[in-house]
Amino acid sequence: MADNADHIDGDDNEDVRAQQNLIKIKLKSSEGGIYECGLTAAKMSDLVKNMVESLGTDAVVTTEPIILGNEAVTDAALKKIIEWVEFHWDDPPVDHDFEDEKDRRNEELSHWDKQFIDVDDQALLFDVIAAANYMDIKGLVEVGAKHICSKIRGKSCQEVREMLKITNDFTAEEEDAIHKENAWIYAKD
Amino acid sequence: MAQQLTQRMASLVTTDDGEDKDIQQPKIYAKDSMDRFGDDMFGLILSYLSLEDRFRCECVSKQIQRTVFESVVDIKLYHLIRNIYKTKTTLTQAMETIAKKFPNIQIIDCRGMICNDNNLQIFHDNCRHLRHIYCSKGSNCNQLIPKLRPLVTRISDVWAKQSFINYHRLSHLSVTFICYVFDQNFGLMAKNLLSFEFTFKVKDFNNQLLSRFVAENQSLRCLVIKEIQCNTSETLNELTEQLSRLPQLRRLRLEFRSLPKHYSLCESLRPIGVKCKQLKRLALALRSKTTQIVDSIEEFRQLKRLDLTLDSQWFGLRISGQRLTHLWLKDLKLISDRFVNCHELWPRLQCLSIECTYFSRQCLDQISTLPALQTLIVQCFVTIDLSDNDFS
Repeated sequence: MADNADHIDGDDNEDVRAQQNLIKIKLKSSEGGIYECGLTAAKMSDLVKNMVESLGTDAVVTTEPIILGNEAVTDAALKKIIEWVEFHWDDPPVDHDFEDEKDRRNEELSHWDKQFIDVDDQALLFDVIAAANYMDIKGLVEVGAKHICSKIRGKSCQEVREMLKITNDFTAEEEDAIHKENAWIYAKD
Repeated sequence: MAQQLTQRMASLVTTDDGEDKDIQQPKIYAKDSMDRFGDDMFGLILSYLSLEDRFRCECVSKQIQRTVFESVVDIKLYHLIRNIYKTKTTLTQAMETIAKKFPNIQIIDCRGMICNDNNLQIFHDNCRHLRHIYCSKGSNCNQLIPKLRPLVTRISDVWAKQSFINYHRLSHLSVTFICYVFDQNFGLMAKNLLSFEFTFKVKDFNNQLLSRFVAENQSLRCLVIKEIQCNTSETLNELTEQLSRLPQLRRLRLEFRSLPKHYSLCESLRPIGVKCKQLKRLALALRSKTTQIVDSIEEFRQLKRLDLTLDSQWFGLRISGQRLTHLWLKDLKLISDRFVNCHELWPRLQCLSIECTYFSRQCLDQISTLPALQTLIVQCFVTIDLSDNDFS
């Protein structure tokens, strides 16, 4: 009996989330572009969620768009972010019965996420990650971070610098010293 | 004198000014350069690298050097140092490097290697967040010095009787035989554990030992019993009766070597299903040569994850679980009607992993009705013709 009740609750909740996602709210980028997004999807951003909760849903729906002032939230980045939350808003919730934090960190990205995040324009990629961090969308920051780390995997320092356009501020001597100190870690099987 | 002082102050002021300018007017970085990110973002992004990649990246830039190690909280030592003997570095040097570079380590896992007190002492002295040491301690000869013992929370591979005195925070223990946790006077040395693993040995198996252990380890959340050999239904029922007295049990893994012939395993498991209300994950491995009857595991209502390995002949298994989210089925003789009505049996199933010899299209069609399925893994020895439509 208790089992049944819980089951119905769960479904109800999913229905409410689906219903709420039919409500559209407006998000405004730092460049001024205004974009529509489902409410449930938009609330994947803790920043938006807190704003919605403090202003009240009705106010958000009827009044001005929510302004996302951080310069990383460009039109292009915001469009990507909306695409991501609109795909992921009905993901199953985290199961707290299992200590999955570590597993999740090690888990490979899904096929969809891989295709989503693999953008040629590195400036856009960094904007999406920085904007997701500003908007507090942990799942999306994780997708971006995993993508960058998968590109770093196995590459030499010089290759990493070239790929991510990082300035080397070590002297040759300093670099050598670090290599020497870490030599044991590179020993192959 | 006063003039000198003024001059000195002026020069100080100038220096300060210079520094201030650096801080107030950061360089404008190209948008496609990772240099645009601050240390926080670097730390966050790099936290998904493996340890090897972190070491390799260390000299990319000073910002990376500052941020690449800070997110590491646990280290598996054996994995890191396994090839150290091929280099000129000594173990002590490597340990010093690790202790220096990873300031935030909370967990040192030295299972699989012999760790002497000196090596661990470095971590004890340098890593102020260190709270857990995991080690394998085959016998009494590699006991740690008393001041390190309270940090040990997990011990595995105990293959001889030894003392667990002063290991006050021990929570996870894996021993070959259950008698190793009792001293000569049959005093129980390991109490209030969270996780325990042992091998069932029928000759030595003493139900009284298990009963004592269960009584003083009511906190137990995870239990693994390997190589269970029960030739009569009484032994099996005694065992399951004991296990059903663990109210906190969340994970249970039972690996059976032999079972009484033509006896329903599920009937014996029922007390566990009824009494262990917290049980969320159950793994059953049946590697018995005899024919088994595994009928239904309906009693396990709270179960979210089920892992079944069935190597023997068995009949009529009906797996139902309204809350099941993960199901692993290693079933070499998979019967195609296994998945009939599976959408009703497992409405919340997210992940289904199947390993079998034969797999049919019919199974796939039935599986495709699962409403919440996200991940499907099938490993089989036959080719299934799949078309693009199957992935829609």
